[in-house]
Amino acid sequence: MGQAIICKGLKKQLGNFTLDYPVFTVAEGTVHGLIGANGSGKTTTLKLLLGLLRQDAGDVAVLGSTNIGVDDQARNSIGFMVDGAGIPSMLNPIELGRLFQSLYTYWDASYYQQLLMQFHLDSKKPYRKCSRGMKVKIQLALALSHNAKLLILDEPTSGLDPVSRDEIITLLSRYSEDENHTILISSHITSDLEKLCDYVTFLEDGKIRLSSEKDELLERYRLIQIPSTRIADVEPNTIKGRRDGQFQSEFLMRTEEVPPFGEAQRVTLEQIIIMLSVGGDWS
Amino acid sequence: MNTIITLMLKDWYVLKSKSGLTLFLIVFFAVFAGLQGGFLYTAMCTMMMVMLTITTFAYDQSDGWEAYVSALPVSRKAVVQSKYLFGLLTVLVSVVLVLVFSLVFRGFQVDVLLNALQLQISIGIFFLSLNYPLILKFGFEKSRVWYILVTFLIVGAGSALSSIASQTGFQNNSLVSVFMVILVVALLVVSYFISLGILKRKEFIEI
Repeated sequence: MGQAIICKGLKKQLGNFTLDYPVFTVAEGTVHGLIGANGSGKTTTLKLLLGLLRQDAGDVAVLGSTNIGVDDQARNSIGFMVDGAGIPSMLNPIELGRLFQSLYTYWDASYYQQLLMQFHLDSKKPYRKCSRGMKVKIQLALALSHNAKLLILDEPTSGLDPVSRDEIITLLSRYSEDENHTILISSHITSDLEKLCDYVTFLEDGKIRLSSEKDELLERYRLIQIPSTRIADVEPNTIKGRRDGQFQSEFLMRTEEVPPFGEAQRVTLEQIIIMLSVGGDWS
Repeated sequence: MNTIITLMLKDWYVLKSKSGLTLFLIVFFAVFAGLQGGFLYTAMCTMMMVMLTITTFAYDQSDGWEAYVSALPVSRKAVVQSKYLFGLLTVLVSVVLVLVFSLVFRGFQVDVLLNALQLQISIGIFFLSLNYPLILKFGFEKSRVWYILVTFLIVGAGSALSSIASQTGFQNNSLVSVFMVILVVALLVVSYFISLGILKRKEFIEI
């Protein structure tokens, strides 16, 4: 399996913020989620991969292209949705389709039409008059209709109702079934990423704290509830994250280090992030 | 070339739904330029036409299209070329409008038509050449302050030159007209390369 994205020694300084990745890769044919708080570097990463920002140091290769900013051919194979980079708000989906047909080599007009119908989008309604959910669907329809090998999506499900979110997750799942298709997606909504992703990377202050296969990560940790009276019996080094209550505490621990007297539960991505982010041990 | 036409088509789509009043005023000024001739109506017709293209920059920046198009399989050179071509096309349309109304209302008068042509080309190209790089560099809002400053400097320099010319007794109007056209075409070429440099180096940090 090749790599759709390879970043080595990547550095980017933006004011007081520094993005610094020794290595970050996204394997071809996988769905890779970027998770992190606001300002952790998700959007900056995606902009660097799309050529909207230039790195200060290091190498970035996207679909084999080491200079995506000037490589129109490679950009032909990328579908994207990045916060703030928007389509012309005065245009309606029909006009957008006409434009994109001329800009992309492999534009599939019938699939675009099919997506517009599937999403119940009004083809003649200007983009600016559409709801947040409709706007996301139009952007996704544009990103998916030119046989892209790589999708780069920034918070595609943010601000959407559960039904629309599920519709989009289902569509992306279907897209990812093709082994030539790769998705890099950032989101705050970890439950969406948990459904969709094969790999996840946690970002904090421009650094990669954790990057792993999702299933392996979910197996790696357990959430343990320990009564206050037994906390002293827990080996402190085994506690990766904790949340203290009045009568009991919740500890995040590696599965093999769970003490016999604790009640172990499976964890969600959200629980892992929260417990590691609040003074947790990322090692 | 297909890409450039497509990007110009985008600008047309942007303008067509929001420019009814401006288009009405452009025709209004063209009609009066045709009826009465003179600097004001002719210049206003061209200026309003170029203003339309400047409006597309404002929409591009507020929509985030400048960033979006930079991630599409479109070169930044094509984006700049489409803007300049669209601008020149609008100048051409304003020339044709004034020409048609002049012919309709006042018949064929070579000197009137040539004066209008020279005025429209000079003003139109000057206006777009000055505005485009400033908008690309500073954004639509901030560029207006820079535009006033740069216009003040250029007009000041022009007045100084004209004062020197009158003091030295230089009064060859046709030579001045040719010189003006050459000057604005040179300004256009310089402006294009500056805009290209700005967009090629541009990073979309706060999009």
